[in-house]
Amino acid sequence: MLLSVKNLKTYFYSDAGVNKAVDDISFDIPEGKTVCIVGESGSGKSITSLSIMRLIDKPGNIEGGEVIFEGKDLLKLSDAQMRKVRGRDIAMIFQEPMTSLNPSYTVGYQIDEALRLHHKELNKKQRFKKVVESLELVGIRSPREKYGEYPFKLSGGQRQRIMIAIAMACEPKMLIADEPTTALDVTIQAQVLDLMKDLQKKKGTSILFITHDLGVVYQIADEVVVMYKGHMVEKASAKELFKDPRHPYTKALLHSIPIPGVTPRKSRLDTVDDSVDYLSFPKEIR
Amino acid sequence: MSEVVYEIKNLKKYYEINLGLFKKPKIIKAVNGISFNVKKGEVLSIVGESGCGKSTTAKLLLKIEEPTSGEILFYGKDITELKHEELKEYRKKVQIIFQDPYSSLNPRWKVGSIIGEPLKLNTDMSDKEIKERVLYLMEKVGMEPDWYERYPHQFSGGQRQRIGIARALALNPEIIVCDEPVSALDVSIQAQVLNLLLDLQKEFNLTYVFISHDLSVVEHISDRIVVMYFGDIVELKSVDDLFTNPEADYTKKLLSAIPTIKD
Repeated sequence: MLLSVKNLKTYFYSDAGVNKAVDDISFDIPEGKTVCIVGESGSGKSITSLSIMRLIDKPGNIEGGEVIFEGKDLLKLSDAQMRKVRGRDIAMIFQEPMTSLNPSYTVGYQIDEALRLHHKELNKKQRFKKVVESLELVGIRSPREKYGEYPFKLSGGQRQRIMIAIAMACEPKMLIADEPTTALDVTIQAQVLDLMKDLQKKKGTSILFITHDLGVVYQIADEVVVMYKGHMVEKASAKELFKDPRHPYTKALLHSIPIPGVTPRKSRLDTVDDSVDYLSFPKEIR
Repeated sequence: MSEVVYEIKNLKKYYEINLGLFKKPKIIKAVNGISFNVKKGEVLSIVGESGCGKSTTAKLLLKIEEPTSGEILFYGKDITELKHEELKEYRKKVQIIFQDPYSSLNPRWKVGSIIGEPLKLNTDMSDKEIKERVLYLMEKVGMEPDWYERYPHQFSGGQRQRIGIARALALNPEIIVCDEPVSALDVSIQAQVLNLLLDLQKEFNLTYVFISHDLSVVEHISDRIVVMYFGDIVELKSVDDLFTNPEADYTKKLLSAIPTIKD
C-alpha cells in the first residue's frame, strides 16, 4: 500500500464551537490506482486531502489518526521533512488553474521551480530539458515556445495541463487532484481526464481524486470513498459502488443525477432528504 | 402545433474591443446570425461551452443587450422597437433566473422584500396584498413562511435559488429564461431545483429558455435543444433526435464527452 489514512480527524475551532470537518476517516491508496473521494460541499473531502498534505492552518487542527506513506507517518514528520515530501513524493493540483498559477512568471519558470527545489543536483540545461519533457508529457504543443509564455495567454484547459506538468515534474509517487476539471468545459474535461489516465499508465502514479461529480468518478476511479458531513458513509470499488450502492446516502446521491437514456425524461428526481439522518445508518465498507 | 412565442431571425451581436488609439478594434462575433423559434409551453435549451454565445443570446432575449442586427419577434412584434409602456409589459412577461444565487440577491434586503420588489414596482397592489402574494409564492417554491423576515445570508445555495425563482414568478410571467440555474449547486440540491422547475412549469404553464452547459440536465428537462458553437447554431432538434441521432460533428463530440454513469 502506497498510502494509508487511518482514523484521520481534523477539527476546526471557532467561538460557535467545534466543527468536525473530518471525523474518523480511513482508506488506502494502492500503487498505480485511482481513489476518488466523492461528496457534496462541506462533506470534508478537500479537508481530507489537505490534511494528508498537512496544509491545515489555524483554526483547524489535525486531531488524530495516521497518514502512513511508504511506511512513515506523515503526521509525525518535522516541518522540514514534510516540505521534502510535498511536491517531490506527493504533488497536488487544484480546481482553479488561474489562481494557482503565478501570473507574473512564465510557465517554464514555474515548472522549473519544482525541480530547483527538489533536484538540486540538476544543472540549468538538464532542468530545461526536463521542463520541456514534462510539457510534452501533458500534451502541450511546441513546448519550447510555450516555455516563455505567461499563464494569461493560455486557455483554461492548457493552464490545467501546466498545473499537471508542475505536479508531475518531479515524478511524484502520488498525485492529489482536488476537483481538477470542475472549472473546465466538458470536452476539455474529457481531455484532461484522458491525460491523467494516460500519465498514470506511463508513470504508475497513484491518484487521489476529489470530486463532487459522480460521472467523473465513474470514468476514472478504481476505489471510491463517499463522504457526508465529515464522515465516510461508504467505501467500495467503483464497480461495486455503481452496481450496488448500499448506503442510503450513496443511493440518494446516485439517483439525484439524471442519466441520459436511463432516467425517464422530466420525471421527478430523487433528492437527498434533509429530514433523514443519514449518519444513523451503519457505514458500508467493502 | 403550439403557438410560437419567439421568432428569432438572423440575430447578431458583435462586441468591439479597443486595442489602442491607432489600432483597428477587434470584433468579437458573440452571436453570429442565429435563427430559431420558441414555442409556448416548451422547454427550449441552449447548450454549448464557454464563449459559444449562449448567455449573450439570453441577454438579447431579455433586452439587457441590444442586437447588432437581426430580429427578435415576440408574438410577431420586434422587441427592439418596444418603448415605454410596451416595454414595461414585455419585461413583466419575461423573467430570469440567474446562475449564482449568491450574487443575484441583495444581501441587505429581507427575503420578503426581495420577492415582493417586482410587485411593488409593476403593480398597484397594497402592501398587504403584496405580502399575501409573496407568502403564496414562497409556499409554491417550498419555503417556510417565517423565512419572510430573514436575510439571504441565512440560507444555503439551494434555498437562495428558490428565492430567485419565487421572485421570477412574482409577476406571473409567460417566459422564464434560466441562465445555468443549477450549475452552482450540489447534485442533490440540483435535483430539488430541477424538480421544482418542472412542477412550476406544469402549474403555471410556463415556457422556459434554459441555458446550460450540462447535457445530462438538459436531456432531462428539455423538449428541444439548440447546440451553439462560436456564435453559431450547429444543430437544433428535439431531445430524442439529438441524443439518438446527432448530426453535427461538434454535437457528437459534446455528447461523447459527458461523463455519465453508463457504459
